[in-house]
Amino acid sequence: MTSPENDEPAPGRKDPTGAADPADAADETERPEDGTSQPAGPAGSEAQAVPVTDAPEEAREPRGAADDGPDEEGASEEELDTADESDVDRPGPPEPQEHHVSERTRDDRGTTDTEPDAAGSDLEVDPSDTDAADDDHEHRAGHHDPVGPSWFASRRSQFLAAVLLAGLGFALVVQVGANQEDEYSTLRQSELVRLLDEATQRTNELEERSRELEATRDELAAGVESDRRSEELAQEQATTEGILSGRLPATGPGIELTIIEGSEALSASTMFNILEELRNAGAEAIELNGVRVVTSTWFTRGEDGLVMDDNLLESPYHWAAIGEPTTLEPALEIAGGAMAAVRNAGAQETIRQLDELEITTTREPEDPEFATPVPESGS
Amino acid sequence: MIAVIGLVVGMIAGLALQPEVPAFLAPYLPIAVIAALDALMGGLRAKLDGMFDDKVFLVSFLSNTVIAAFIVFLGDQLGVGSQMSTGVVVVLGIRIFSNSAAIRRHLFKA
Repeated sequence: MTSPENDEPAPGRKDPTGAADPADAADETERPEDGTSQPAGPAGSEAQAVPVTDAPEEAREPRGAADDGPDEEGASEEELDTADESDVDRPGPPEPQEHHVSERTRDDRGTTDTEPDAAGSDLEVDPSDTDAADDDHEHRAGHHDPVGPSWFASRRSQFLAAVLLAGLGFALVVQVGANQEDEYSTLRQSELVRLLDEATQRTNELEERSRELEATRDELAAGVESDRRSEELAQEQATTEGILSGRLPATGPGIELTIIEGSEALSASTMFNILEELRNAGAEAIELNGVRVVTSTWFTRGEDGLVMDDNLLESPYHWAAIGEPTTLEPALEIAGGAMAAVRNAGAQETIRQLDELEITTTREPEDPEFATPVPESGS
Repeated sequence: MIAVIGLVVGMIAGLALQPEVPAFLAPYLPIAVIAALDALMGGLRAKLDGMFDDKVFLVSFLSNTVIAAFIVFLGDQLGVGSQMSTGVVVVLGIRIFSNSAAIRRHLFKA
């Protein structure tokens, strides 16, 4: 892990200038033109300070040759140098620094006369900085707009940072936008393939489940259909059996038979004969004097007259039978049959064929006391 | 100050243009952005330490982003792309945190 301050090559870059400067300063002290500055005062510090403030440009010239400056000053200058690096960004670094230098020299003159070395090192830093700054300014001015070279040059690092940060901001916003736009757009191919596989597998599972449910639904629908059919069948059977057993009123074509008793009373067997003839001829519903005739109907001759199923019958006897009229009437009129017996007994009979005959009376069948249905085989 | 303006301008440009991220760049852009953030924090710390150097900033910014993206690309080629990007993000996150701690000490003395 390398932190940025480690990345900073500040020492490497500034070392040469830093190391050279003390030597420059030393050269300056030897030059005679120093006479323009303060002549009086302690020799060591002042003599070094004056050329620095007055003529930073000249100080640069002999740098290349005079590289024999003291090594121990390199370290302290390095720190100071880098510390002043931020100052380079300011619009006019040389002037305030020169001020600073002159102040320091005055301070040094007043207080630290006894340590010329320390004062010297302090002072010697500044020319290097101003030199480097000037050098940079000239260098940058060549690349940038010549109209305001110093302005642009002094802000070169800021502009560089601005450009980089503009790129960063752009990329940041674009990435965030892309991420919100589509969550799959930043995924890798392998991840997309995995997602696709999962989706396919899930689809297959769901399709299978769908098929199962459809099969169940079809089964249930078929069950409903067969249930409905069996219910219809049962209804039909119930209707048929209800009519046949006398439980339901019935309507249809049939015959109406009216018998008026003569002087001789009709026997029960004669009446039963008529009933049997009707049944044989296929009568499906039979009524006699407002009483429904069923399978358990019986006739007897009591003291008061004919009795059918505990009901006393009186003349005239009105039979109504639903069935095929053209079959029922000949069955009754058959030679030696029921009608012949009735006429023999001196009674009058009339038979009418009707297209629409209604039998409204009903009889609730009694539950069988002994007989139970035989269980269906196989169920 | 100009740098902050640059950042704002870049963000506005990104919002305004809303460009599509090319498919081949899609997995590497977020890593590069994280690396750039790391370089930004490092530059900020160096500035506060008084050691800021524009050239170093430029080089570290560009190389960080490129190397981070390249590492992830390499991981993709080796079949460990997602793990590699996770690792890079962790490392860069640690660096961002340590840099921000230094910045915090500078700004708040705490």
